[in-house]
Amino acid sequence: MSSFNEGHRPETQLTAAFDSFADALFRHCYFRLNDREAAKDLVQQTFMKTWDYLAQGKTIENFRAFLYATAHNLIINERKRRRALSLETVTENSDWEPVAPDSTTVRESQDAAQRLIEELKRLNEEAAQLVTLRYVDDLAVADIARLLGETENTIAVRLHRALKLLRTIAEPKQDHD
Amino acid sequence: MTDLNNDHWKELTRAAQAVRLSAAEKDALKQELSGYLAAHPPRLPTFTFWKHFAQYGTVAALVLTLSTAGAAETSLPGDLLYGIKVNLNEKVVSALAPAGKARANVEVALTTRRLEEAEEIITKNEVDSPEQERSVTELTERLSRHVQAVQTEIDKIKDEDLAGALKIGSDLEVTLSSHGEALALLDEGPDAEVTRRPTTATIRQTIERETATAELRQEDLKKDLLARADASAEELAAEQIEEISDHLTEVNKLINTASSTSDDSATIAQAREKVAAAQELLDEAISQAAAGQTPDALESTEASAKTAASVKSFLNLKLNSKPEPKPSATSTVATSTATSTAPVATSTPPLELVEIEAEEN
Repeated sequence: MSSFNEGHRPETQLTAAFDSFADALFRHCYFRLNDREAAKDLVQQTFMKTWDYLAQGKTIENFRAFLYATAHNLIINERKRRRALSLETVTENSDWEPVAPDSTTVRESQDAAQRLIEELKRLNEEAAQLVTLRYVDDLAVADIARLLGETENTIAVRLHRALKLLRTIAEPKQDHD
Repeated sequence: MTDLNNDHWKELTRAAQAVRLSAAEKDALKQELSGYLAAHPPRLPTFTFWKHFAQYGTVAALVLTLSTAGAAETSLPGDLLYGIKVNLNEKVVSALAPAGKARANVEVALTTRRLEEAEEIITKNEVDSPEQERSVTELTERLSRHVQAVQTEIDKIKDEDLAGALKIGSDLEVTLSSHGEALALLDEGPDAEVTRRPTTATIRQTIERETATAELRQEDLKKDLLARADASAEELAAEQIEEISDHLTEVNKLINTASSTSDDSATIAQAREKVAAAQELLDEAISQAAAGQTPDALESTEASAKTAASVKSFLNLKLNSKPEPKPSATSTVATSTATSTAPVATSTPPLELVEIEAEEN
């Protein structure tokens, strides 16, 4: 990620980071919150906070890690804020509009993504974050470890536990499919 | 045990990848973000600037002592901080403005800013110096680049939004011609010697050339719009009338403020005359629009807008030529717009944040 900061002005860095990571961050926030508008809002806040940091003259070594860490903190705050809302209300408010090449793929994607969202709801905060990073953001275990400041081993073990739990939820569904 | 590579997870990952922001959402986020960046400029020069200024030791220390980005906002060509103003602060705004209407509006605002700087150079200095000549050359080159950038963006949007393109072209033409007209007014009266200076002549020639080009291009756009069978020309005329009407109210307030702080009654009277002329043109435009004479109404609104805008430039030139204390540096990235109306009795041209309009996809 060094290409984002070496010899570039802060606004150029932020523009490059936005172009590279806006979709991925949006995806991450969307799957964590199941709310398209809130996800957009959090993406915006993430970049604003990143700008605040850069505007102080500070440098960011790893933009992806910084953005995900910032987004994660915002997600935690957002979830605390809306803990009073029922899951049903949140689901009703979600506005699923995937971009996919044809309608069949759209339907399949919607079904699969909705299944993942349902499964994530069963997990605690830490496990949901790990599964999202691994399967929504498609990050390697080593990348997740760097991002969260843990060893690869710790991440692998936690992910393993989360998947084990998820498997018990997912398997009956797969049997029916 | 769940296999990390099994079909279930592959399918979910594939499905997740289909979740993304639409182009319109991305543009909207980017636009909001650019506004935020504009309102929260970097406190200090970083990276390239830091390295550049660091070569000069004490200069770097001095620059850092100042709130650089904010202080740079009031700088003029030739000033140490001018590079930060045009290469850092303004690029914050323009770099993130989506191509098309938003970027065109930013470039129009930057054109206005260069014109106001030109006026400030003219009124601030009594004689030309080699440094000033170099600064003016740089400024006029930048001015032409901004104008060119506006035209480029207009070309991009005119097929899809001809009325929008015409509106931007009109804003550009108004800002160019009004500043040119204000400079021409100096030919008369006690400030005539200012207009004979080579730097003033260079600025005027550039403005005249760019105005002529903008007018020609505007004519073509207008022809295309009027050839259309829809009501977009009528809507544009109505929109312009409303906008100019508001602007004239603000210009009148501006004159009232100026008259209470300045004893230059001749200048105030001249400004009032111009406003009356602009009002007359606007009344004519209203009658023409009501009678369905849309081409004439568009002509009259444009003439009225130019006259009204020239009043502000004229007051700036006349009343600011006498040295007055500089206001404190603004801490935001700000750019002047063609219709901004801050009090004129200061040595700095009025500034306000650029409002970037949403791109429609």
